Amino acid sequence: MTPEQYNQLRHSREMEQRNRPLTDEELDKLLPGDKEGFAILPPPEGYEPL
Amino acid sequence: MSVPPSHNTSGLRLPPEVTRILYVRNLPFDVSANAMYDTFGKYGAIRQVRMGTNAKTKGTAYVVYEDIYDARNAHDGLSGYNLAGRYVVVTYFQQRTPLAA
Repeated sequence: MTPEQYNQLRHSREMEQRNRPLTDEELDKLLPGDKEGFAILPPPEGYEPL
Repeated sequence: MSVPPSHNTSGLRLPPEVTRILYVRNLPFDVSANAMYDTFGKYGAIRQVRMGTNAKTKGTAYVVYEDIYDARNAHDGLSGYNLAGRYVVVTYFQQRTPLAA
C-alpha cells in the first residue's frame, strides 16, 4: 500500500466517522433545547429528504 | 432510520471545522417551516431544524444535515442568501461537548 493509498484510506475512514448518523439523544446533547430557547421545527407535510 | 447513500461522498477530506450542523443568524422572525425546509432542503436531506424561540434566540436556527458534504454545500451556497428580505448569516456549529463514544 502506497502512502497515498494509506492516507486516502485514513481520510475516508475519518470522514465516515464524522458522517455516521446522529441519534436524537446525541442531537439533544449537542444542541440547545427548549430550556435554552430553541424548539425543534417539525418538517412540513410532504417534505421528503432528497 | 435508513441512511441515505451519501451520494457525493468522494472521501474528500473536509477541514475539521466543517460539521453537519449549520448555525444560521439574521433569519426573519416569522420564517415558516416551508421556507426553511425549501431553502435549506435544496442542498440535501435535513436531519433536524431547531428554531430560536425566545427574545435572545429569535431569528437564529440550527440546521442539521444528514450528510456533511450537503452541509458544506449549503454553507457555501447560502452565506448571504436573501431569505424573505433578510441576508442570512451561515456558520458551522462547533461542538463544545465531545460526542458520547
